[in-house]
Amino acid sequence: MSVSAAHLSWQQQGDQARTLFFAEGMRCANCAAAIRREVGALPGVERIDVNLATSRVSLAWNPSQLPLAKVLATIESLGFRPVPLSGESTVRERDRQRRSALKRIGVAGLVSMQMSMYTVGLYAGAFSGMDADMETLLRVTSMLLALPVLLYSGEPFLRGAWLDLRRRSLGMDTPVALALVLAFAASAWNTFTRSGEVYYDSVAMFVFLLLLGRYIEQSLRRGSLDASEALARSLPAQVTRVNDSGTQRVPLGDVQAGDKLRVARGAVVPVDALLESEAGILDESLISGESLPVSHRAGDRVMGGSVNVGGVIEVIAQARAEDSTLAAMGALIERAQAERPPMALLAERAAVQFVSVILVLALLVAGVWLWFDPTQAFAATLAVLVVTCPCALSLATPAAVAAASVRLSRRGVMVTRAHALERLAGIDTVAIDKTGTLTGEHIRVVAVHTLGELDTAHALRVAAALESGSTHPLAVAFAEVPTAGLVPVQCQEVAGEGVEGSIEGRLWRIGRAEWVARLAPTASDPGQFSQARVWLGNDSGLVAAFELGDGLRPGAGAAVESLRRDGLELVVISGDRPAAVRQVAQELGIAKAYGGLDPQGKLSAVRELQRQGRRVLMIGDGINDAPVLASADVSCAMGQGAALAQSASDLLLMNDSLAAVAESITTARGTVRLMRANLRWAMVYNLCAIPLAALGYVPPWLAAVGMSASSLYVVWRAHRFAHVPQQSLPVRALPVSAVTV
Amino acid sequence: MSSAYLLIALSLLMLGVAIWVFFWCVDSGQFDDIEEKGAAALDGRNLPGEESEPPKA
Repeated sequence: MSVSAAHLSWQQQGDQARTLFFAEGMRCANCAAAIRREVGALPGVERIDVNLATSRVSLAWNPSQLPLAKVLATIESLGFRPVPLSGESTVRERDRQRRSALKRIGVAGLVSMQMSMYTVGLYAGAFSGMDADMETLLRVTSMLLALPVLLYSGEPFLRGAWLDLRRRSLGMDTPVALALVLAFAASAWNTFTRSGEVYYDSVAMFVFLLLLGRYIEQSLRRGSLDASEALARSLPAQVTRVNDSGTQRVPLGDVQAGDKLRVARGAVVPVDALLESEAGILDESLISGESLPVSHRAGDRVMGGSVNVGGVIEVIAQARAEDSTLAAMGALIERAQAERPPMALLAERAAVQFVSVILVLALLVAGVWLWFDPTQAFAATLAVLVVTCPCALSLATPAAVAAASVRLSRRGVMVTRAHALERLAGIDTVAIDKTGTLTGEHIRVVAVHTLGELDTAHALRVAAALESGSTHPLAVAFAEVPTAGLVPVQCQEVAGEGVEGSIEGRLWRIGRAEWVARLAPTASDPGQFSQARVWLGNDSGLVAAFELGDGLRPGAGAAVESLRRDGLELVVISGDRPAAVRQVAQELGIAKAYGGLDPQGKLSAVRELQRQGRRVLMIGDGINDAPVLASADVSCAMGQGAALAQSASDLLLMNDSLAAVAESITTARGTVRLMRANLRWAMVYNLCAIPLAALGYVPPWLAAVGMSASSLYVVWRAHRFAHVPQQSLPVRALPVSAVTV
Repeated sequence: MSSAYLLIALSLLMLGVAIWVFFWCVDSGQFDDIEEKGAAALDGRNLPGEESEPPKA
C-alpha cells in the first residue's frame, strides 16, 4: 500500500500545519536520526520529531512552501514507509507487516532444520569418508537452500545495512548483514573450489534466531504503545449526526457544538458532549484511568474518547473535535514525545558510536587470528560481528519510558514532559496547594454543634431556609442542605451581621455570634465552639453553631499518608486563610503549612524550599497556580477538558484523585531504576560477550542467540514493568448499574 | 548410493510443501491474533464480525 499525502489528516493554523504518522521500518536510533536529519533539512519544515519507541513522526511544516507529498517521498527514499495513524489502514498495515515477518521466520526456521540434516551428513562424511561427488552435492544443496534464507528471510537486515550504507552511516544492521554476506560468500567460494569449510547452516540459523528475536521484541514494543495514543487513533473518521430528517454520516471534522450525535454500542464518543439519552454506560478508562464503566444520566457531561459500553446513546456535542479533551491530550502527548529524556539521548549517541567500534574490533580480531591460527579466524570474526548488541543499548531507555507511561496512564496520570520521570524520581518534598487539590472548591458545613432544644437535622433545616435567599458567600455552604418545606417570612439581610427571618411564627437569626445572641433578652455564652463562624439563634439564645470549611476531598488522607510512607516531606502552600490552611494541615498531619500567600508568595515559598536544597514536586489545580507550578522541579496539575492544553505542568492527574501522586513517584523511581539496570545490563553483556567471541569461545549460533536474547531481555523487563498486576490498583466501589452490564 | 540422491530430492520436496502450507496458514490469518480470541471466549464478548447474541447476565 503506497501512502499518498491524501491519506494523512493534518491540522493547519495560519502558516503552520501539523501532522502525525507512523514510519514503519524504524529499527534503531540511527533510523530515527536519519529521518530527523533528512526531513529536517527540507525547506519549509519547522519541526520534526521522531519517536523510536513508537515509530511515530510528528511534523510541523509550512504547506505553502513544501507539499506534504515531498516529505513522504523523502521518508520513503530513506527506506521507511509512512503510514497514517488512524483507523483501518494502520490495522491493515500492521497485519501485513506481521504476516510477512512470520513468513520470513517460517522459511528461515524450516530451512535451517532441513539444512541441519545435510550438515549431519557432511559431518558424518568427514569422519567416515565420503565420496567427493556426494560431498559436493550436499554442499550445493545447502547453498541452494541458504540463498532464499539470505535473500528473502534476511532481507530486512540486508536492506537496513544497504540503506545505512547509502546514508553513509552505520546502523544496527551493518554488523549483522556483514556477517551474513561474509559467511555466505566464503561458503560459496569453498563450495566451488571444493575446499575449506561451509557455513550455510550458520547463515540460516543466524537469520532464524535474529528474526525471531526481533519479532518478539516488536510485539512487546507494540503492546507498550501509550494507551492514550491508542485512543487518539481509535477516533472514528465519520460520525452519525441526528437531525430532523433522520441520520446522516458526517466527517468528524464537521461536528459543531450543538450537534446531536448517535453513538453505537462499542463506539467511541467522538467529542466532549452532554448525554441526551436517559442513561448511558461509558468506559472512561483511557481518559481518566477509571477501570470500571461509569454510568451517566441525561444531562451529564461525557468526555470525548470514552467508549460506549451500554446501549445506543445520543449526545449533544459541546465542542468541536479539536477543542475536546482528547485533542488536548493528543497535543500534550505530542509535546511529551517531542522531547527525549537526557538519559535516552546519551544512550542513542553511544549506540551509534558503538557500531563503528565493533567493526574496527572485528577487523582486529580477524587480523590477530589470521596471524596465529587462520582456521579459527573466520568463525571468531563472525561471532564478534553478531554477538555484540547495540540494540540493547539503544532500546534500554525508550523501552523503560514507554513502559512507565503505560503504567501511569492506567492510573489516570499523563506524563507530558520527557524529563518528568527522571526528575520525579529525585523528588524529596511535595508542596500541595490546598484548594482544589486537598480540599474541594465549595464551602460546606463540616460540623454542627447544638446547644439546646434543636437536634442537628432541624437546626440545619432552619439554617438552610434562612440562608436560601442570601447572597452572602458563606450562604452557599447551606445550598445543598434540604429545607424540608420550611419557608422563612419577613426575611431580611443585615450587612456584615447575618440574616433575620421568622419561620413557623418564631423569629430566628443566623450569622455572627454576637449579633445572633442579641436577639435573646439574656446573654448566652458561645462556650467551647468559638471556632464556629456561623451561629443560629432565636429568642431563647444561641441554638446551634456551624463550622464551615471546604471539606477534604475523598481520599486526600490516604494519599497524604502514602506520600509520607514513601519518605517525602509534605508542605501545604495556599492562598487561603492561614487558620483554614492550618486546620486542613492538622487534620492530615502535615507539620508545615503556609497560608495567606498570593501567587508571588507561593513562588517564593517554593524557591525557599529549593534554596534549602530540596527538590520539590508542586501539586496545584493547573490554571491558577501556573507560575508556582512552573518554578517547581516537577509540577503536577489536576484538570480536565480543553483547559488541559494550556497547562504547563509535567504531570496531569486526569481523574482528580491525589492517590495517583504517590503511585507516580513510585513508578518514576522504578523507571529510573529500570533505565539504569537496562543500560547496565547492555554494558555488561557486551563487555562479557565480545572478549569471549574474540577468543573464539562463542560458536556462531550461540552468538545469534546471545544477541537476540540480550535485546529481548531489555524489552521484556520494560514490558513486565508496564503491566503490573491489577491487584495493586486502588479498590473502588462498584457502581450498581455496572454490575448488570 | 543412488538412494541418497533420491532422498535429498524428496527432502527438498517435503521442505517445499512445508513452506507452502505455512504460507497458506499465515495468509489465511491463522496467526493474526493468537490472544484476543482466547480471551474473548472467557469474558463473553463478541469479536467484530460475530453476530451471535452474548449470554444474558
